[in-house]
Amino acid sequence: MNYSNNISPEELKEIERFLQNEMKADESAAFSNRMQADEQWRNNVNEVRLMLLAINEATLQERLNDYHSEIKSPEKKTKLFSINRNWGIAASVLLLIAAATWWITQNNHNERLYSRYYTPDPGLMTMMSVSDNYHFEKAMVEYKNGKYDKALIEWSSLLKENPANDTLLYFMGAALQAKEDKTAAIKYLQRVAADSNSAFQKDACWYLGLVYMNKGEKDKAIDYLQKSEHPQSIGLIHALKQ
Amino acid sequence: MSDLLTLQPARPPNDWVSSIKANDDKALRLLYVENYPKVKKYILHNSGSEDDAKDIYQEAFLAAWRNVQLDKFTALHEDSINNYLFQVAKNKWLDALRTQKRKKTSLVSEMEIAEMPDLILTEEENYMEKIKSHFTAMGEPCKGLLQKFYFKKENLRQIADFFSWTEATAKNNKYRCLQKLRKAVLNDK
Repeated sequence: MNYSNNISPEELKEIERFLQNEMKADESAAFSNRMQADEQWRNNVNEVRLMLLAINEATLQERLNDYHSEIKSPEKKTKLFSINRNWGIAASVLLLIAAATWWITQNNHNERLYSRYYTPDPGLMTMMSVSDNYHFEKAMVEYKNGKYDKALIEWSSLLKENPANDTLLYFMGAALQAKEDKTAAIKYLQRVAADSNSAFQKDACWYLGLVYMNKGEKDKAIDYLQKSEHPQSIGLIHALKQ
Repeated sequence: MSDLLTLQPARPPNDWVSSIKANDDKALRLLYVENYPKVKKYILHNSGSEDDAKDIYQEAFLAAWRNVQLDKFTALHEDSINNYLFQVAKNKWLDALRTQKRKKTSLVSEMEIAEMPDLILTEEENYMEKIKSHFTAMGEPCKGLLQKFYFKKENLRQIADFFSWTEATAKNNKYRCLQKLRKAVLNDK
C-alpha cells in the first residue's frame, strides 16, 4: 500500500464528496469505476478514508474520559435503551416534574456548576532572582498566594505603560475573578478573548464562559465555552444545556 | 443533577447508527454512560480491576464506534448496539486475560480463554494508529480545525468565523493541515 502519492486540493475535495455520499448516482459510479481501473487512485481514496476515520477516532478518544466522569457509582442504574412503553410514559411525567423543579433551582445549579468547574488560573512560573520583569513577577507571587489586591495594584501600574499587554490583561482578569468581581473580570478577559494573537485567548474564553455562567447568562457562557475548546468544556456545556 | 432529564424513550435501531455516524455528542455520551456498568461488573467478576474495566471499556467503545463508521454493524433490534458493545468489551477482556495468562479466581473457563484469536493489526490498522498518534500530537490551529471539519462536521462558514479567517483561507488551511499530517506519518518509519 503506497500512501505517498500526491493528492491535489481538487482531488481531495472529490474524494471527500465521494466518501461522504455527496455524489449523485452517475458521478459516484464513474468514481468507483476509476477506483477499479486505477490502482494509484484507489490507494489515494483509501488513504483519505483511513485518515479521516483516524482523525475522528482520535478526537473521540480524547473525549472518553470526559464521558467517563459522568458515570455515577455505585448505585444500580436501569438500562434506558430497552424501556418499554409504560416506563416511557412514567418517565415523561417525571420529566415534566423534574423540568419544573429544574427551573426553580436554576440559580443553585449554575452556582454549583461554577464551584465544580472553576479554579483560578495557577499563574506563571517565576524566577525572582534575575528578571527584567521584577514587578510583574513579584505581583505574580502575590497572586499565587491569593493576595489578589496586591497583585492587581502592581499590575495596574504596569498596564499604564503597556496598555495592550495580553498577559497583564489576562492575569488581572483572573485575579478579579478570583476576588469575585465579575463585572471587572469580564472587562479584562473580554479583551484577551478577542485577541487571536494572544496565547491566553482560549483560557480567557474558558474563564469568561464560567463567569457568564455564574451570572446566569447561559447563551454567552456557552458561546465562550465553545470557543475555549477546553477539555472540560464539552461536559460543562452539556450540563448547562440541561 | 437529576438523571431523569436524560430519560428518553428508546429510539429505533437505525437512529442509533445514524447518531453514532454523525458523532452526535449527546448520543455517544449516553451510549457510553449507560453501557459501562455491565462491562464493569463482568470484568470485576473475572479477575479484573476497576482500572482494567475502564481501559477495556474505552477500547471496546472505540472499536464499536469504528465498526459502525465502517458499516460493519447492522442494528437488528433496539438492544443490538448495547449487546454489541458488551460483546466487544467481553472479547477484549478475554483476550487480555489470555495474553497475561492470569489464572486467579476467575469464573471464565480455561477453554474460553484458549479459543480467542490473536489480535493482529492489519496494515490499514497500523496506518490508522500512526495517524491517530500524530494527530493527537498536532498543535493548533490544525488540530482544532480538523476536528471541527470532520468530527463536529461544522461548515466552512462557521469554521472561518471562529478563526477569523475567510472561507478560502479556511479551506486552504484544512488542506495544508491534512498534508502536514500525511507527511508526518510518511516520515514516521
